[in-house]
Amino acid sequence: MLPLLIVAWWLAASALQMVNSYLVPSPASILQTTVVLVQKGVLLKHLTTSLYRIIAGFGLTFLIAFPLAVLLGTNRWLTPYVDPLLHFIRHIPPISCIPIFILWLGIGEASKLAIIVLAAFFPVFLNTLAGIVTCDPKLIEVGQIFGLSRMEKFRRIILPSALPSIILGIRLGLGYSWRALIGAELIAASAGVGYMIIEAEQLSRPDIVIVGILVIGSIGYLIDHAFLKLSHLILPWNGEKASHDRFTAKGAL
Amino acid sequence: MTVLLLKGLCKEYPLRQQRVQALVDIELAIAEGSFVTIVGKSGCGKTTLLRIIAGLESRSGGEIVFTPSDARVGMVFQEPRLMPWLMVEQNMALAMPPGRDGKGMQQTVEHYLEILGLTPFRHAYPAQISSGMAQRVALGRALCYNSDIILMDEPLSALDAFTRRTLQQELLHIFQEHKKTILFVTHDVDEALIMGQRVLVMDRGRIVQDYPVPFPYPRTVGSEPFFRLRENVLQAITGDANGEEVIRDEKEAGVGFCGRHGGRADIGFFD
Repeated sequence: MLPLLIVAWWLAASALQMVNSYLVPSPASILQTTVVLVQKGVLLKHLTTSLYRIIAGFGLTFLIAFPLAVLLGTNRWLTPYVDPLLHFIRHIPPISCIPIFILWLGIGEASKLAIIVLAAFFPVFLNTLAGIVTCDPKLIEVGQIFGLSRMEKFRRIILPSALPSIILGIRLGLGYSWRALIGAELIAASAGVGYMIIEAEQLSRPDIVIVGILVIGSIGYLIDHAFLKLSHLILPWNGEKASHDRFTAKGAL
Repeated sequence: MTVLLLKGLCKEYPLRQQRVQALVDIELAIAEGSFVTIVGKSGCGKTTLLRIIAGLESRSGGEIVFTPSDARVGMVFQEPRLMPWLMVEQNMALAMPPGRDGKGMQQTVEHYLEILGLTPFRHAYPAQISSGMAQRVALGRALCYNSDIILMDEPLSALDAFTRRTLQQELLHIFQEHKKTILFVTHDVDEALIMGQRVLVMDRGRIVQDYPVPFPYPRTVGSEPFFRLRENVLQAITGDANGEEVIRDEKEAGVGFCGRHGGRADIGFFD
């Protein structure tokens, strides 16, 4: 309902010339620009570039964060050794690392992947860790009673118990990756939706800037929505809880 | 045959500057195929005893001997402790990992689903079934494990009276049909006497009375001998009885008196 009201206001403001059409192009011109960008393949090119970076960067994040969380969650004695460093890194905004990543890794793909890893690591890591360490000890005792080995207890009790938390971490991590990537592409890139926006700004094309913003929001929403649907399929016992966990998750703030 | 033998079992743990004795010199033999109930006040050591037998807690001294030595020990807790992500039949099969018990797994689960009246709910998740039903699943899980001895820690105490009565009957039916060895902890004296062939009374970490219950199943609480035995057990729990009174009552009731484990005067809760 709210988006419809905003569009209605936008249409009315444009039609009544209440706003400067250069600064706030009309919905019709935005639609026209979108069609042109799609027809020329520009939008698809930038979008696929950004999505490829997300998939690669987030995949890399998961490969680092998940095993580390499992290691720390199942070997609590390691925590004091790793905790200070992790808490130090957690407070660094990924965007602030872009200059040093460009210096170290160049302006190519590596620096973007590094930004995504930094942005998505903590939601995935902290939520996976929380899921593992908060597994109900009473359930673990059940595994102990029925003779499950340490590995079986992890695979059959701890991991399924942590799954809602892990999936929540992935959802949050994907959202954070998307936002951080666009930030990185705004600063240093030659392709991607962020680059498309900054290039449009330099060319004085606010219509393309707005198309880029709308695409970012839409893709972020679609990724989140698809993952929510997927989590309901993967976690049928978890009901509607997952959709309400977004704001209470570790690393969400 | 004795399936479980406890020799001088002790458990103590530190509390501030003192050592608390949770279990003191427990001597107990559980015969195969017997239903033994343990009653006592809260904090008398019933649950600790069960948890040590189950291997969930360490003991401070004494010995636990299972026959056979690799006996399977199943346990049903006060709360069902079902895995929320597993359906009823999967929860029951949890105790039987594939490869361990092989092909008969599905048949065993189906068998106990049927016995416990859970077949229509086999594909339900724990959140979708009642607490009584969930406790049935927990019982089914212990049965599927093919336990040599099943430990039950107040498994019916959280249920309403009607469900509790129904499950008592079902449990007794399973016990009689399958000749399982059951060690059942409860704080309900009636339940202990309705269910058990033998009632152990615990007080401050010791087994202070051991009563055989000679009444045939199904039992009712209304008969005079049952009532007298109930009074004896209650007196033993509250510590109002002395040995002579108990023996006299036992003779009048026609119930055999099995003995008294340790006097009350030397019972020390704190060292």
